[in-house]
Parts: sequence; C-alpha cells; structure tokens
Amino acid sequence: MSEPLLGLEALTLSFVQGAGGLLQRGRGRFTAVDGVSFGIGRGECLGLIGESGSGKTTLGRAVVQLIAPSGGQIRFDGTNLTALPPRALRVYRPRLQIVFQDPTESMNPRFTVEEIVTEPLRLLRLGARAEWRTRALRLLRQVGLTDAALSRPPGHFSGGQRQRIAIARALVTEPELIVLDEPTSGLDVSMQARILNLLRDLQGQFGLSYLFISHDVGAVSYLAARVAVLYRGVLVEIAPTRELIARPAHPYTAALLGALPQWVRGRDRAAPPSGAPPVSAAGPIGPGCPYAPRCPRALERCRAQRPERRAVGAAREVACHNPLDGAA
Amino acid sequence: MSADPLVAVESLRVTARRAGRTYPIVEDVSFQIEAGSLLALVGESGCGKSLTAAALLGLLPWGLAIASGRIRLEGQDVLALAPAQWRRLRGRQVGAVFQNPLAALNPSLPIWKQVVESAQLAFGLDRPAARHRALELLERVGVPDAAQRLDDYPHQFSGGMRQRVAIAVALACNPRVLVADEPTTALDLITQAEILGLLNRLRLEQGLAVLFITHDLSLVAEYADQVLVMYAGRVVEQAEARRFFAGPRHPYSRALLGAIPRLATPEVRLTDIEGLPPNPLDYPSGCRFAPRCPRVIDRCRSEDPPPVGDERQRVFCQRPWAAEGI
Amino acid sequence: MSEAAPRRWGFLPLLRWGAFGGRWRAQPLVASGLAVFLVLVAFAWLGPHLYTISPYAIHPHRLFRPPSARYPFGTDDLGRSFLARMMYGGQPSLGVAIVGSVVAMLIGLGYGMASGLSPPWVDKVLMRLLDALLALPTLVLMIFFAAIVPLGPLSLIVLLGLVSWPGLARIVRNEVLAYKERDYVLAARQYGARTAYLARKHLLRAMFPIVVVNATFTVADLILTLAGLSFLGLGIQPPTPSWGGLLGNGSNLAITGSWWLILFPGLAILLAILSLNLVGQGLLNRLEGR
Repeated sequence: MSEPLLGLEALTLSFVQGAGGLLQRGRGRFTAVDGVSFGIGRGECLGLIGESGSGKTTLGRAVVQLIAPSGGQIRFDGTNLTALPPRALRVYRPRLQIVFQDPTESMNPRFTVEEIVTEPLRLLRLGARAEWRTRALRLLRQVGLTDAALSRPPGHFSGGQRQRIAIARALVTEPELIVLDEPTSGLDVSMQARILNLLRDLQGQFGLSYLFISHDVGAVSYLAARVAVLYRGVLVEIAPTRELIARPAHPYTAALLGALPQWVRGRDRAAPPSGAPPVSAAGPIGPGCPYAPRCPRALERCRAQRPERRAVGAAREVACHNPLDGAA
Repeated sequence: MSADPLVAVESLRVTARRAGRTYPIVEDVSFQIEAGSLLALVGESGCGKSLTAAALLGLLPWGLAIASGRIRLEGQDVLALAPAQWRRLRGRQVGAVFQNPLAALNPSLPIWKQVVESAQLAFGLDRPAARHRALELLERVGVPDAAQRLDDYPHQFSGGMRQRVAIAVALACNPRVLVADEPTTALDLITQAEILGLLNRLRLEQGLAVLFITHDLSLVAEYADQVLVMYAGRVVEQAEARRFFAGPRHPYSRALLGAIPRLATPEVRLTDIEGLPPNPLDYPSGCRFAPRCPRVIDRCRSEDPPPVGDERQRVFCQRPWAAEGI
Repeated sequence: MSEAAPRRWGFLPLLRWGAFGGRWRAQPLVASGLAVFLVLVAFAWLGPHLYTISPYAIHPHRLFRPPSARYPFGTDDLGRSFLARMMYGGQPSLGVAIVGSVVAMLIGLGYGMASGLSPPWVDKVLMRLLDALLALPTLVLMIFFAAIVPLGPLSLIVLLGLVSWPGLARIVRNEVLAYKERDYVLAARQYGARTAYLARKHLLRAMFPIVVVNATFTVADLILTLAGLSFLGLGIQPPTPSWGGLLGNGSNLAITGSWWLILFPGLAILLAILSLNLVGQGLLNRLEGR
C-alpha cells in the first residue's frame, strides 16, 4: 500500500512537570504520549479511544501542529511536518483541521458566527475576501443552520448548534483531514446523534479523513472503520472496528467493551471482566506495561518489560504479553 | 401492595416566577418507587428531570416553587410538614448524589469528616464512633485501603473514587431513598460501569429506593425497574423497564433510544430529532413534542395528548406506536 | 474598498454595551451611578455657561455670605462666588482623574498584555518589577514627585497615570495567561495566527470589560488621591479652584462657621466617588454573574 495521508511514527509528547520556574533543570518530565505510531488513509476514519488522562487530546493537538513533539514524526501527505519551519507549515495548515471538544470554549464569544467561520480564511489568506461570506453561508447551510446565524454571536446557539458552527469552521479551508476531539461529549444523546450523522454525511460527501478521538466506544464504532486504543499514552491495540469489538485482544480493550452498557454492547457480547480492582490512584508508569497494575491477566513479565506491539491477524496489532485468545 | 411505597410523588407541579407571571416548569409528574427498586427519570437537559429531583430533595433553586401536588415519604405527606420537620426527615431519609463529586465535597476537610458530617448532626456521634462509621461507609462503597485514606482530602482521590466518597456521604444517615442525578456523566467508561454496579448493589442489599436521573437511556436498560421519560416539563411515557426497552411507544422515547449507537449495528443510521426543545417560557399548545415529531397530526397541535395504555406502560400521545407484546 | 472599511474599525464593537451582556435598563445600579456622575460632569463643564459669574472675581464687601438666590452656594473668604468656584473646581478634579485613569489603563493594558504574551522568563521579570512598584504607596510617591516637578493639570495627569497602572497590569496579565489556553485562541493559532493577531483580535476584546471596570474604580481612586493632594496643598495650585483644594480651604476656615465651604466640595467628592463605585460594582456583578 502507498503511504497513508497521515502517518505518526513513534510520536512522543512529553512536558516538564510542575510550574516552570526560572531554574527548570532537574525537574521530572511527564510523558503524555509515548511512541505512538499509526496511519490514516485518504477518506478513512480512525477512532482513537482512551479515558481521560490517556493523552488522546494532546495527541490530537500535536497532529494539527499545536504542540511540538519531543520525538518521532508526524507525516502528512508524504512530508514530515515536525521538521518544517513555521512558514512552510502554513501551506499544510488548511489541509489539517481540528474540532475541539467544547464548542463554547473554542469560539470567541464576542465574534459573530461569520467572523468565527471565516477566521481561518482571514488568517491563512485563502480565497478572495469577497467570497468568504458566501463560503461561510454555504457551509452553515451544509451543517444545518440558517442564513440568519451569520450575524449572531455563538452565545445565541445551543451546544449542538455551536458544535455545528465549529464543524463549519473546520470545513471552511477545504481540509483533507479533520481531528475530531470528543466532538459529541457534553451534548445530549439526541444532539450527539445529529452530530454523528452529520459527520458521517460530510465524510461521504467530501471524502474526508477523520481522526475521531473519543472515550465513547459506541460513537467511535458508529463512525470509524478502524480503532486505536490508547492507555496512559501508549497505543495498546489497533484493529478494524468489527474485529476489535468481536474479539478484543488486549485486556484493557476487553475491559472497556465490558464496561459498556448492555444496551450498547449487545447481549451476546463478553460479560464485564471480573476481579479488576478499582485503582485508587494512578502511580508512575514502571518499566513494564502501563496497564499491568490493573490487568487481571498480568504476568511477572508484564511488570518488568514493556510489551512490543506486534501483528496478530491481518490488520490488527496489539501490545501485550498475554493477549486474550481468539485474536492470537 | 403490602404497605405504602417509599416514595410517592403525585401530580407534582413546579412553577417559575418571572416578571410577575408564573410559568409551569414541571407539570403533572407522578411516580412511586418501592423499596429496592430503581426508577429512571430520563430526558434531555432542560426537560425538568433535575428539577423534579430537586423538588423531592427540597433543593429547588430560588424563584421556583412547588405549586401543587404531593410528595410522600413512607406514606407521610412531607409538604404538609413544617419546613424544619421536613428538613430533618429529608436529612435522614433521602440521600443525594450529583454529577460533579468535586463540587459536592469540601476541598479543605478530610473526607472522613465529610462522610459522617450529616450522621453526626443527626445522631450526635463522638469522634471515635464517627471515624469508625466513616470507615464502615467508605468500605461499603468500595474505597480501597479505606482505613489509610480517612484523613485524605478530596483532591487526593480520582474522579471515580470521589464519586464513591460522595455516595458514602449520601449513605451516612442510612437513608431509605437515594436520588442520583447524572452521577456518572463526568466519569470514564470503566469507572461509570463500576459506579453503576455499586449503586445497583447498594439498592439490592439495603433495599434503597433509587431515583436515577440521566439523559442516556442505555445506562439504565440493565438496572431500571421503571422508566419515566420527560419532555419539556411533562411526562411523555411511563412504563415498566422491560416493556419500555422491548418497545417504547412514544415517538420521542423511540427517538431517544434510536439516537444511541449500538456496536452490533453501526450501519443503522441514528435517529435524528430535528429542531430544539421548546423554551419553558413559551411552550406550544397541545403536545409539546409536536413541532419535532415525525408522526405529528393536526390534533397534536391543538389538544393535549391523552394517556394511552395501562399502568404497566402509559404513554401520552395521540398516535403512539403499537405496544409490543410481552 | 468600501467593504473593507468596517474591518479596519473592527475594534468599534468593543464599545458596545454588549460586552457586558445586557442592556442599560436591566442595570439600575450602573444606570443610576452613571446618571449621577454625568450630572457632576455637566455641572463642571456646562454649568459655567449657564452661571456666568467669574470664580476669580473678588468682592471684599461680600465675604462669607451663606447661600442665597444670587450666590446659591454662598461666597468664600475672598467674597468669590462659591458656586462658580465649585463648577470650575470640578474641571481639574474630574478631568485630571478621568484622563489620568485613561493613561493608567493604557499603560496597564499594554504592560499586562506584553507580560502575558512574553516567554515565561520575561513574564517573570516583568511581574517582579510590578511587585516592586505595587509595594510603593501611591500618595507617598505623588508627594515625592510633587516636590520635584512643577504641578499643573498636565503634570498631574502624567504623574497619576504613572502611579496607578500596576494593579490593572497584573489583572490583565493573569487574564491573558488564562485566555491564552482557551480553545478558541488555540484554534486561531492552528490557523497560523501570530501573537500580534491574537493580542489584537482575541485578547483585546476579552480584556475590554475588565479594563472598563478597572477604569471606573481608578477614576474614583484618582479623584480621592487628587483631593488628598490638594488638601495637603500639593495638587492643583491656587487660585485655580479644585474640589480638594476648596475642601481644604473650607476646613481651614471652619472656625468662621461657613458650613457651605465644607459641605459642597465634600458632597461633590463623595457623590463622584460613590457614583463611580456604583457603576464599577454594577459592571463587575454583571461580569462575574456570567
């Protein structure tokens, strides 16, 4: 297969811990994302599942070049973006967009919707100024808002409508890939459904690629053909959605699926794993597998040595010393 | 029915006062919860579900009041009590758990003091007895190493553990009724499952009557005995859970359930509900769901929807879906 | 080309009340405070056009006259119309405070934004410097400057402006730090926005309400400081009247029983400060209520 549209290679994102003083040396570093690799093809939606604190949001922001990686590469359409100077990066910015989790936070409350949606064009100097408004109007209609929305501030809209405005803003530069960072969390169920449907329609219509970041396994399974599971910054499993749901290989994936409400999971699926005690506090990651302290299948080896990611089956990979049967 | 149900709400009506006019926010809500059973109160934000719970807890925000209706706890009409009496009864009989456990806990007090605060007020425990009680409660809600964590502060706990502590606070006075208002919305998936399991275990073991409030029907499919769906301040469907999940009859209930993605059927398009819920200050006449309803007929817009069906599945609709046979 | 014009004046919406999220009618506190303050401003600047007696005309045979129809506020120790002196006295008292506050706001806004948007180590140095400035009491600083600079309205504006900005600078800097991490600022950065753009388009608008609230309180503060200085003889120099100076003079003459020489300037200062605090508090409530 040719190179995917977006390719992460051993991406590592770490930060200096604690409030940085004038003397920053000697402080610990916190690794939010640790050696993550995956690819997203053109027109593909990859789901990225993780709990809060798994590093999924940080990863999404790194993909759109808001955070500089401490190691590894982010390749887009064959170019290593992390090596580019800011000026050269501007060429790629319109092609890569992001929709943030909280639409209230992600729009300046004092802008009008027109200013919000056209801001990327203004900043990236795209298209003729005279076209901006028509472009904004077209997209607002596309996401299901009326023309009257253009001159109003975002405060006049409901959460779901605001998220649609955010989607219109992401579309305005005609991107090829959109990072969706929990675009439906915080919305009511019916609003979630509308946003998910809209995203699915837009993907079909424009041939978009998505990196769909969410903690909601149900929503991810609805949009994504492939799913990657992130646990404390480490990619523990990546597989086609159907296979992952039917036969999770990593114990953490199995725990996630087991924790889904039965209504979502379906009656015939695996029951919740027993015996996994609640972990009172997340300690530092040792040399072994990050999931080992919570894992009901942990071996001696799991605590001592970090498992490498290896292929199991045709299109799936898992990082586990003792994966569940069925997948192996 | 052997005795009175633990909780009985009859024709509850909550109104808001705004610029000299009163607006109905919750209208004609009635339900009963037996000991050891769980009633799920489901609806989208602004539908009045949380205000119904607040009325039950005596925590209605300023400007809102119970205009009519009755609330009975173990047969006793609490609205007829003097405010101080009701407060005392509430403190002992009704526990509450909310969405954000961090907001429910005082950041500057060690958790054991918070867990037993209400019990100390109610029963006047001395310090050793109170610490012992706190330990017992924390163990009951599954806080690991509870003995070592008594003197910890809320920020030292993870989100799920905080919610466990908040549940321990709610259970301190051995209440018979527990109101849980979106208790898992802020939590991760695995933690959510753990907390739901805990609440379920507690109600079965202790015979708690639980009022569980959520916007997500999928959460309660496993646990609920009864489901009550609200829309724009009114009950639209009220049913035994088994019947409800076998086939909801109100178009809104159907849409809510159809909006949840299910793993087995990713190709089935989720239900879109067009439009937005109406503004409580400007409800439409007739059925309030009519403007968004796919099955709407002319009569819906002029007449209030009639109750259809029996006690086991009642729906307020001119054109409900047919009942599934169970 | 005409299409581009509104863009250039894009900051104009700043001046909308909408920044505080409401209408005037909904704000009795703000509206009444503002009304009182505007009456005082009109008294100082429009009054002399209606009541044309000179504040400098000395009448040796009409000293210490109590309020009457011809001299509604009475006369002072040199027989000058006290109403005229009160009107003219309002101009430096209010004017210097208002303009001085604007100067302070501009410096504070600039310094705060610069500090918040600078790399952390620059920010740190700028903030330590601010701590040092905040540690100096305003009045002492003014007395020091007053001793070395000739005092007039202009020098007072500059001096008051220079000593009263650090508080705002700190608030603005903290707000900038908070806003810098807001998703919408991140979103703009993702589209390639530079610092200058962020400052102009996003942060300046966000700072506006805070600056307005702060300006209101600062004007009130400066009126008081100025009155204090005049009272000590360090403010506006006689024979030019100022409310503080009039009050100082009046209290020196208290022994003559001329109550009006104390009541009117005292009342004017009190009303000015009270009304501005009402406005500021009303706006603050509005901001924090959101």
